[in-house]
Amino acid sequence: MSGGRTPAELEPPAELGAPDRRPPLERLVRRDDLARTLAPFVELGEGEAVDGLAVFDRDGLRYVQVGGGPMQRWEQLPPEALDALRRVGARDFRIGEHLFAIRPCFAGADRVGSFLISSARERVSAGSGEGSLAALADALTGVVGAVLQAGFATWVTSEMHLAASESNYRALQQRNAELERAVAHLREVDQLKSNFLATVSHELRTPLTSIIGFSEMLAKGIAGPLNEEQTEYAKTILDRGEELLRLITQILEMSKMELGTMRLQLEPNALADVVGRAFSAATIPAERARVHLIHELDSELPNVLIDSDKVQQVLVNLISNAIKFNHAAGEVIVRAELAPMRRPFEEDFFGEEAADALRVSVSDTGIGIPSDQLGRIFDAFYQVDSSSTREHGGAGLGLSIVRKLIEAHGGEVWAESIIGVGTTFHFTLPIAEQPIPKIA
Amino acid sequence: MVYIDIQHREVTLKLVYYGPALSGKTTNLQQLHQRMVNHAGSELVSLDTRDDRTLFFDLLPLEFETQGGFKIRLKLFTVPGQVIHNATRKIVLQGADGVAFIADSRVGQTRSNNESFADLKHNLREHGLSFSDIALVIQFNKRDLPGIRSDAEVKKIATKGKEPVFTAVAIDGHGVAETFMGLAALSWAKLEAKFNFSERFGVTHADFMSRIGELFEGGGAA
Repeated sequence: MSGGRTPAELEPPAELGAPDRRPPLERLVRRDDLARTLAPFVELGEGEAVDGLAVFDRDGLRYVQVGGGPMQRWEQLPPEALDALRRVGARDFRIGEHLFAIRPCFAGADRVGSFLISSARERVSAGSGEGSLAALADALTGVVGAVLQAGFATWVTSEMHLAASESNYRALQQRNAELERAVAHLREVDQLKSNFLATVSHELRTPLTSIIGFSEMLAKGIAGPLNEEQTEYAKTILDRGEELLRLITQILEMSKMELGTMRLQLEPNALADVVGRAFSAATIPAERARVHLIHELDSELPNVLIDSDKVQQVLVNLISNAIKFNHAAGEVIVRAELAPMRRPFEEDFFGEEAADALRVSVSDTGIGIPSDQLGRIFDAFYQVDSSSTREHGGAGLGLSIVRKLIEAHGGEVWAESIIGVGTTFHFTLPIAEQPIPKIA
Repeated sequence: MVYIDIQHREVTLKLVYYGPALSGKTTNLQQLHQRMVNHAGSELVSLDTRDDRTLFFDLLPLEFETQGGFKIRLKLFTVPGQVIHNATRKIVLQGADGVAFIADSRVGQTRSNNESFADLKHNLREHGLSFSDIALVIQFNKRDLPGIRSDAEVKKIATKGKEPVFTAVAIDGHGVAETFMGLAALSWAKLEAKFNFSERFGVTHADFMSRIGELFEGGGAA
């Protein structure tokens, strides 16, 4: 017996999603429609002695009934009939003068109701009897089933639409709030950039050329000999002037990239050559900061299909950062290996992706970057230390340019860092399909 | 979540086919349906597809009775694989007892497999579940295509997790039944451990599995 159930044993349906809910009959088919569909079968079945058809819902309540007979007084029927509806009794049974057949009705995966057919016993012709009534019941259940199935498809589609749009609506609201914050942030950044670009115009470069030119003449003693201290001052003016010029050039470059006017000249190149050129450009600042530049490049590495000037610029930017944020006697190491084009993903259960690119890494032994800042360092004008008393200069454009250049090559750039131990920047470059004969 | 109806002596299990777009989830269900075509109550419901891509889900309901008249119903769902349909995926995944992750064997699809796997993890977490709460099996589909992971590689990946791994060519029906049986067996074992069906209702694991096996017999697939 299954009578001994306690409420705790009934699994609570919890929050059922649309695919799991059982639709009520009235959502699947309208009463009138179902009655109209069934009515002809009673008339047709007159000779077969069918005198009533009914559909009951899951709780055993009558939903639709056509024809006459005992079905009209269903509530007063003996317990066999009610048991059959509750699925504990026989599916085909007789009560007094009447034969009954009961069949479950499904919609999707769930039983949504029962179909019942009744026939006056004395009118059933000899030789057919219960068998033919059962066959008729099966056939008609098929018809009702098809109607319910169609209703179910419509119902579940609309439920899914509803549920999906509700959840999309919530997601949208959240996105809207995020977007509003983002817009405020963007306005701020945009303002910052406009200010910057406004200041760095031709007006700024013109006087700068004079400063650089005249301080160079002074330092070289063209305007007459200077003592050691004076020469030192003039040289400082010259150095600083050039630094300023570089900054301005970077900013103009950045705006050029944002306008989308950058063109790449892609050619097969040996990475070692490009790294070599970047190292020689960084030798002087490295020596000044007493930082060692090291490259660990395998001679077997394939060529990359790149614009070598642009990638050199990427390397110079990363290496000079690595020097700038290093400590004395620190190291800057450039490595490269075959790897997938895209940065590593949090999930790698299905294995490594195909290594169809070269991953170049620039590591330093410097101060490191807090992990919550790693995602933002590639934003234009972003500085990890943006206080006015910060130790290191710059416009916050170097990494932003790096990202733009690498993405233009179809690669990705990202960083890893441990505070106090160092930072490693990785970027990927496409491999040149065919090896190019080496030019000496 | 399994739905147990004590009054009607009925248990309903929800099994979901998950995976990246175009990995063959619907194909798996279609093949299962084809092989079980003679069984009542197993009508494949396919909803709203556009260009043969699943928009909402496909549903294959199965039903059988075990010894002692205990009724088991299985609801097999697929989710839409495309990234943008995450809302639908989450709704369908809700309350799943078992998940079959259908992966594309091609090396070039590694990223989408990984992304979908992470997406599954994430969506389960949103329902307050982890891999250990549900039955999970993995199918490497499309074994007939070029550029796939070798059997040795698949074996190596299989050893990384404790999930059973199957290989398949769903379009030809290879491995489809095996994956389904594996999923059903594991789902039942998980629920058995939790609800103790054999003691409470006298339904044993062996009985359950032999009924599942019967679904395939005489189903037209010789």
